[in-house]
Amino acid sequence: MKKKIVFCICLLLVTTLLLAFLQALTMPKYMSSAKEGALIAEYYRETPDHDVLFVGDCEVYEGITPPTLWEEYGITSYIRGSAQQLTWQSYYLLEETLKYETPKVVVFNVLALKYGEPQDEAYNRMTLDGMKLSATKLRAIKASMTEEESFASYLFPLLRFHSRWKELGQEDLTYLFHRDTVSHNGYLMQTEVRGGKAEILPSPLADYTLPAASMEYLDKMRELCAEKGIAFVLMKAPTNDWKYHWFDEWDAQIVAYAAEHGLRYYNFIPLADEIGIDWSTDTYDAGVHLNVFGAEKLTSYLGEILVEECGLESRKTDAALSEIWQKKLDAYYAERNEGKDY
Amino acid sequence: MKKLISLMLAVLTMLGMLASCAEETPKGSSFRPFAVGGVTVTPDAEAAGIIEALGEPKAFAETGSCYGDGKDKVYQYVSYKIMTYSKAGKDYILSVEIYDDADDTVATPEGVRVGDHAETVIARHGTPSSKTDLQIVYLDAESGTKLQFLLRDGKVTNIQYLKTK
Repeated sequence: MKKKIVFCICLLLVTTLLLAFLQALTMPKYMSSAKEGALIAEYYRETPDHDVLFVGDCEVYEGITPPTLWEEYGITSYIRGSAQQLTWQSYYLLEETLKYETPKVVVFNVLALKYGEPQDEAYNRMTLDGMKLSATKLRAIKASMTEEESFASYLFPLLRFHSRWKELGQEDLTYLFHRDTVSHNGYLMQTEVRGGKAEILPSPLADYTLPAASMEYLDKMRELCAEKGIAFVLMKAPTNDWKYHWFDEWDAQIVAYAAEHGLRYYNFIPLADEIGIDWSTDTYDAGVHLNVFGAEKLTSYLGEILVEECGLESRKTDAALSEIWQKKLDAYYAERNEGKDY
Repeated sequence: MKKLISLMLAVLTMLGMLASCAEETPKGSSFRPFAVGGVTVTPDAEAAGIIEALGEPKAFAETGSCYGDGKDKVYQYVSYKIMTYSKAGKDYILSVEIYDDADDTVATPEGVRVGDHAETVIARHGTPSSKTDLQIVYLDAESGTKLQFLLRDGKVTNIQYLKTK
């Protein structure tokens, strides 16, 4: 009888280990392509001590460079950004991050407010699979799933990714149990220059009312920050192209929302010239996203706002912190000067 | 004991079976797709031949999908534009949009143009799936396509053929 019990336990253990191994093997690694999929998980390797937390979509992780904020203003920051991060995902990432730390300022990029319902599994995966298992993650999954997705597949990603066995490659073996760091405190560097803005008309909408679902989560972010005594700031990155167009009608709603709740809102689209954005050199994809040169300009401009209007002070007198950030700056400039891009 | 081993094997077998799941094949649309100059533009159709047949666009742009799987592209012609998406190295039609009435040959196959009255839409296209003061929508659930007329002051301002899934 005792032998049988031991055998059963061993069998269960072996099966569990086998399934865990298969899951680790088949999950996308996001190391050589679609690196934005690796961003969310990187936060857990960071020491949680930041003055500013950014949440939002590609407009934050391609538009703001935390090393620049430190270098120019002595402000520590982290970007919890991910591809097409929906507003409820920003909320749950904020909720989760605030369990680790309490920044002085949270900045949310407003573009994703246009989405009122779950959009795409691939983007969901890049945000949700990287989160640590917690009640917050479970709520984030529930809020984010499209009709075709299953809750179980987020708890056991093997159920979703088993079919990748056909396309497994060297990367899946190399990064079976670890990942490289792809970002600079959440900033995903792009050094390529592909300037020029295409003269494409944005596609109009039937109704420009921002969806109630996304506005509800904006409310929740605002309330959560208020509870914790954190300044909640809204921004819109200066990019404004045919594909991700920020309509004036939406802007008017955010201006009104910010005024109603006493929030700061910075729409950087009309400020692009003042910021110094040169669309022939500061974008890597013809004006859809900023490259590192444009991101540094935007960060420099935003840094002044954070100091002058949000009252943040330089922490460069902290020797230990300075040492940590010097290493981050070294890594940042090594990649920037190498001209490596993704 | 045998039951437990059988259960373990069943779990692994099920995972194997899941791996062989087939992908769904898109089906055709029930309303007539957009056509211009004898070229039919159907959502989900392969784009290369269509774009070549339509000739040089007035403007063109492309951008990487955030997911990194190829490029989303837009070809803007006089009065209409075509958006494409990439899949497995090929471009496919994502949507078509008629944005103005500068080219009077550009209309739905049923004969509706930008600037027409909402009543004309209903008369030419029949009973819609939904109608408000802002839009008239025809849905084809089977093919996952949508024909949408945007309205302002009772007139069509924009016509869009879209994929809905």
